[in-house]
Amino acid sequence: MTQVQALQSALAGEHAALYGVGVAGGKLSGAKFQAASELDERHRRQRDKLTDLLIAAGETPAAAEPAYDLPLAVTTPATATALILLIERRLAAVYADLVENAEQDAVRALAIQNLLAASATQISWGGAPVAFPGAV
Amino acid sequence: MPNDPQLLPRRTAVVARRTTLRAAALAAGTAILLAGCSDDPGEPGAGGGTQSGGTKGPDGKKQPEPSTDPAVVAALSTAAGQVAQAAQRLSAASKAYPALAAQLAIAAKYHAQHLAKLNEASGADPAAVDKLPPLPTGAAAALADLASREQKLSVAHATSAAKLSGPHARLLAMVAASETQLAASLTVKKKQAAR
Repeated sequence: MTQVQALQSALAGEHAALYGVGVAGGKLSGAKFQAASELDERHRRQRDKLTDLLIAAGETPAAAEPAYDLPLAVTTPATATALILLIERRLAAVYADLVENAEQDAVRALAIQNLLAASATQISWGGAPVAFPGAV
Repeated sequence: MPNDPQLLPRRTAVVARRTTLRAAALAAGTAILLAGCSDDPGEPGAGGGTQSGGTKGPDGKKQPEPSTDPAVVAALSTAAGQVAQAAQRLSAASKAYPALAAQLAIAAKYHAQHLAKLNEASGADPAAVDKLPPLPTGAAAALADLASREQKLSVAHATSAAKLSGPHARLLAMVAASETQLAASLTVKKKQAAR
């Protein structure tokens, strides 16, 4: 995998995460809705940063799909939370890939920052720590 | 926020399935996140991950080859020494405050796994552990101290990871991510203990 491929995968992951967090947010209220909104904003910033990096590299950034299949039915606050946890666990793996395949210091630093953010988010959404977040 | 897919027209749902299949072929990140892959980390294809380099470790996951680059060996050995010290501190805290033992066990277990992988990747002898600074007095203070040290370790290892590349950078970054999780987890428990 090249750095560009890993960046495109991360961008595709952020597009999907934005969709999934949006769906989850629709089933949440109060503090959890607020947290989902903040998470949505963070993924939006990460998407924009990845887009900028790809454009700077002369590449065409992957576009978002109109809709995505969800890996679980989101019908309650509990399933909404489960979807967010799943998204953050899988995003951690995508960013660990980017760490491994980064060829530029700035890209590696961004990937590490986002891997740590996805890992911390898992705990704030009730997930348990793991030995190697982002491992495959 | 997008519409709930349950509310999408049927035609849109069909398009979504087609789209996901196309996305799976074009963009691994999309497929990994929302195409319904198994979340079982033991199942092939779960999660992301590159397919090149490294060997299979005892847990079936890819391991970086032991490095011969002195800078890489130094970074990994330093991290191993820091993790070993953290593990000893957790052990000391568990003995001094048995009420904390159960909640510290997971951190001790993960640091043992971090240490094994770091030693394996560095190819160097396990680092000697310096004398431990004394534990704070009281279980709550000890827990706060451990959480703070986990966060500092995470920052140090993330910084080191940024100076490496390839599988070694990934290993150190994942250790840093785990330490961030442990710090947050211990902080949550500290708050619960204070209630």
